[in-house]
Amino acid sequence: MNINKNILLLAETNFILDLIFEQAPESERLFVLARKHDLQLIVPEYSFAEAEGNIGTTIQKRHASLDTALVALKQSERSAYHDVIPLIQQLEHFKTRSIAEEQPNLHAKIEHLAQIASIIPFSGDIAARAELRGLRRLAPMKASDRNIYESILHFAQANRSPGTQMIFLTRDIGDFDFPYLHQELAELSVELRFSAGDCIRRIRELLEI
Amino acid sequence: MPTENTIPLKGVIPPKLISLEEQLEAIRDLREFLRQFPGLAEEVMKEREHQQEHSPAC
Repeated sequence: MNINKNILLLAETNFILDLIFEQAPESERLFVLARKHDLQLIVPEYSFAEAEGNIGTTIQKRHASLDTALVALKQSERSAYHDVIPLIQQLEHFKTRSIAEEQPNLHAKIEHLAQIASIIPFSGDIAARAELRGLRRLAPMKASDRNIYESILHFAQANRSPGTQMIFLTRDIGDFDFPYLHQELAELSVELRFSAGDCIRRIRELLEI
Repeated sequence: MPTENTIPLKGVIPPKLISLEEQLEAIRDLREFLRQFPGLAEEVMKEREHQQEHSPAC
């Protein structure tokens, strides 16, 4: 096993979502492999906020569906279907409880999860660079991707060293697979990989295991 | 004690959960919470795709 190479694994929002929703078994395998070999996992703060926002928005949409159902049921309570009243009360109780408990709980649990990785703090500098990248019409084209990408660049610039190899995992191939992004990252010793499986193969290769 | 692969990093907030077991526990804890919402993963992924498609592009 080659222990002279320092390998850093950089990941973003999709990796977090894959890990917590068990969407891709290889994501957990990659996580365990990395930790077993003391590879540090680095994730932008932006990605944890984005993952929390994605889940929170989905839960809020469920509340909106509940509201729609409650409106329909409340119209029925004045009709021959007035036996829906207990159901309305139960749904209202469920919604109140859900709002009071779920969002704070989700936030606390994401904060807890964020403690598994080294976090690249999101800063005004990163946001400004992402904005300028957008004005220059440089990939990645989406604002959220640019914030993540600039976080990765910021980290790589600060931590590059001759013995360090960084691997950046994103499965967002459509937004990141541009030759000039590969080149920009390669200059900072960062390899771009588009699947956890590919990362596993590459890490095994680098560690000679 | 840093090993060969845990060099000090610049400009990051270091992880507070160090052992693999602690880290897996944090993942399991969140998974357990999210199991209260069956089908959430699919909805989140759809929502994410929707957001990506409608994200302001430069």
